[in-house]
Amino acid sequence: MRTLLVFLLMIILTPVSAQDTIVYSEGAQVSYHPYDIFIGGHLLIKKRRFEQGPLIEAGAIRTLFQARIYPRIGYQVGYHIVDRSVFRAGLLARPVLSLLHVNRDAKHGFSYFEELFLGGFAEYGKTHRFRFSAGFGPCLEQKWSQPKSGFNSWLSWNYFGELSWSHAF
Amino acid sequence: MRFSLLIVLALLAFSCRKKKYEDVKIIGHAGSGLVVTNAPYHDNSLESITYALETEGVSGVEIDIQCSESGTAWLFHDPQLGEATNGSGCINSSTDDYLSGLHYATTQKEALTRLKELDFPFDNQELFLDMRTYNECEAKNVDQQQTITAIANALNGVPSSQIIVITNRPEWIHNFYLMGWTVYFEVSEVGDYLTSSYKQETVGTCMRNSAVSAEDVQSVQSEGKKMMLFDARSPKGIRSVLKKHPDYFLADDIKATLIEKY
Repeated sequence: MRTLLVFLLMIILTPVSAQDTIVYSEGAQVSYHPYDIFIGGHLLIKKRRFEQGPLIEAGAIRTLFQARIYPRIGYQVGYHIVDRSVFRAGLLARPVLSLLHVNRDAKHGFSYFEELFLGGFAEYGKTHRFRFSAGFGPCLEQKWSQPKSGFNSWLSWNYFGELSWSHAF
Repeated sequence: MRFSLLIVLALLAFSCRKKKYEDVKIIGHAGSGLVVTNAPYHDNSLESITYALETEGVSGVEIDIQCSESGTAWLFHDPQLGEATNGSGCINSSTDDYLSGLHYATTQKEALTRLKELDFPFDNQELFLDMRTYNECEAKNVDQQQTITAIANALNGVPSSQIIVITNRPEWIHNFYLMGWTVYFEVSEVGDYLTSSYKQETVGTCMRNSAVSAEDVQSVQSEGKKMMLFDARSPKGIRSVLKKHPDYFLADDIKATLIEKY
């Protein structure tokens, strides 16, 4: 727990030095998650050894094969333990929100998912960067409960494995 | 840009499609799914069953029943405990004390569940008991009378007509029938059911989706019997089940199934 707090504190204190070089990157990613295969895009801002940025995705199976849009947004913060010119590797934290309209006939047919992944990444390349990321963490699913006539929360554990490409400038 | 707009319009058009599968009841297979990655909890766990029953659109759950050496009905699918838990051996050869200390080998570590722990009867939802009848540790069939006693004790006070069992053992059908229970006979081919002498003591049959055509479903239903299908996990497989219009579908991917139905 203490390690996690120190890690989060380091990330919060990231933008203290404005004189360091900032590297912007944008790209696309595909990630395997137990609930779907997510495809989307991301932005990252890297300053010194820290990076952060938003991502937006959609579940490919639900969206393309079941005509039910499964959107997901997240924000990634990371710390580069290895920070060479062509190879980087480090730790990441990624809170993610998603929702899925499961039952259209129901008054409350949505499922809401809130996840927090902790994991790592390894990246290769200078301008064109290819990265593998993976994470594990808790998932809180909220959905309407028939018997209780109210929203109920379900805590479980999820993971993801992701391949991404980004263009740095 | 124009291409993206077309894709969005196509998705909206598909998403407005009216589906006509109201006659198919969705039942959570082994709770909220068996051998499926997107079930949040292990099959046959209390969490998995509650999760399914609290999902709008789910009409009930199917669970797997095995009888312990102590004569108690437990929920467990696999032949050996070591395949899914931190224990070893078989349910049939284990005491209640031993089983009470076990949990599934998952991150959540869900405990093994007794049948009597379920809050049954449910409100407007059904419970299907799938009988596991072979003791792999001792290489012998389990005793039906012991199983009947275990279920009757666990569901004490539940009207017999609300106890629904599924069995693939034809010689077990008659004794279940005598108990006043609702019996489904699981077979591998529809002809095995339609020509069975036990058919009159059952209300229907349970079959793997890949072995059944829409005509098979109709032939069973035309005799006043019900058809229950299972084993379809992909969106395409789930659609193929719904198009056959069985009375029940044992769904492994509950969310995907509800999306297809509604």
